[in-house]
Amino acid sequence: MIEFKSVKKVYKVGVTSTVALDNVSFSIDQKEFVSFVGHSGAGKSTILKLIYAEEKPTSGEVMFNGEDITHIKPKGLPLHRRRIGTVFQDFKLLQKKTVYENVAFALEVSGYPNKEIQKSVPQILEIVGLSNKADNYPHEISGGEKQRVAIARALVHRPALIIADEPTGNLDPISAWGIIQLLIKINKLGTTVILATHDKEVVNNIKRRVVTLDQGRIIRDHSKGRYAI
Amino acid sequence: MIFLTISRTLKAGFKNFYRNGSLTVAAVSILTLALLIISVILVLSISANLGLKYVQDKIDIRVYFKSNVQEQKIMAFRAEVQRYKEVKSAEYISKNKALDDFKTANASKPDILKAIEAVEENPLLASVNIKATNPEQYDIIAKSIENSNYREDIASINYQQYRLVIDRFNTTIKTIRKTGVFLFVLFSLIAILITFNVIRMTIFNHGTEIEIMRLVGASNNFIRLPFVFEGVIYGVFAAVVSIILLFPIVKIVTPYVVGSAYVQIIQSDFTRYFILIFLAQLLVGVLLGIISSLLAIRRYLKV
Repeated sequence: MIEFKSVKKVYKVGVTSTVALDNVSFSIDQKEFVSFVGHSGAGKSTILKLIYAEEKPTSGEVMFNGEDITHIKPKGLPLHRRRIGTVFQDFKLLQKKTVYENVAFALEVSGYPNKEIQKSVPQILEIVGLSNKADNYPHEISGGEKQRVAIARALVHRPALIIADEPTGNLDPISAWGIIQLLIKINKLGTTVILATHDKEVVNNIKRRVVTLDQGRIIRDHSKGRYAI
Repeated sequence: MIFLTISRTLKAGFKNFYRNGSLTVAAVSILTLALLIISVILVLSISANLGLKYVQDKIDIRVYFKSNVQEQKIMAFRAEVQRYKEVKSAEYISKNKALDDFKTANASKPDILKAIEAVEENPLLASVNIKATNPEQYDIIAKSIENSNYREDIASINYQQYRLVIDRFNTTIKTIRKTGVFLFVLFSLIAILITFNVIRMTIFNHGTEIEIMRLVGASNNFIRLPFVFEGVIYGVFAAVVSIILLFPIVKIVTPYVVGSAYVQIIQSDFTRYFILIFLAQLLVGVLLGIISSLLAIRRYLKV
């Protein structure tokens, strides 16, 4: 599904340049659950950004479903993004919208008809276990619940891939584990999940493929990996 | 799909408009000011043109003949004048016709009528009324008549009195055009700058929203349109406000431009120009709004 071919990414700020990824190659199959682990600055987020085409590689190729997205045109970007759901550490919820509206927003802006929105949103809220909070605003619910809303929003247009960048970073261990279980459930329903985290507990409990990064290089790639740096 | 996009983004544009509060007021007022300036310029040049046209229609050269000159001779003069290429028409007005015209013109003034009847002989002179194809040619026509063979028979040539009026209208129109264009450009730039900043503030306030929209795959148009609509709404509002303000302004300003004598005539002609002016305002207002919002959003849509 995803393939990185000798990808290098260098960030340039003024005269200083930082190598975020150095000659990284790997591939991810459909329905896999992959965790990228490593210290801050190891290159986890950069890999995710390259997948949802927020950044372009300095050299090398990024393939998505056999399609080269290295030089994706601005016009093709929205369609690419609709194949991917994204979840972040800071939830990125709209404070002035209710839980229901936050999830519906993702469909509205992608041009889904109202009927479909009214059908899909309650279903997704059911899956993430928030049916009873549909009319609450983000400030009225807990951190774990906020992240569930974000996951619901990422899922609602039924993407083939969910990208989660430190989704448990702001959560207590119990809520964090709830979120991870939700991601595992989503994965079992057939969606590919890519997780970036530095949470040792979380990674060791998932017992799935783990790719370990250090200073922009892959130093380990185990199919039933553990967090070990 | 297109309908959905438009209805959703239009709704978002309206929301931005009424939630922005003082920013909305700032944007609408500066756009209104810019529109008022073009409208006033338009009004001024339309009224100056109307005034000029009115005066030009009235202008003619009246050549009065001494009372002893035979009608035949006057007709010969008329025929000769009509051959000048500068002359549009030349009308003969006999003594009797002149008297009749005089009587009708003064029908409401019995004193004058009595006085003219008291004189046994018709005191008015026969004349030829000459109209030029181009008002600037009256000078030439008058000069050639003065130098013609008929100069001995002519009592007076009457045309000087209009020249001042014509000159005044011509200079007014020129000044209006010059200062008008300058002021219009200046205020358009200011309006674009301020509206641009207002919309940029809105966009800034919607930073997270735009980020999420991009992440969930909203098309660029979907992100851009609410702000474009916001600009359009500013433009429409400004056009409505400025057309309302324009009525009293026209009433106050026109007398100074065209002279109070012509105000009545011009203002009666004016109503039909208002629709035209409103449409112009609407067009310019909406264009300024769209340009400003497109400039403001451009930066946020780069990949």
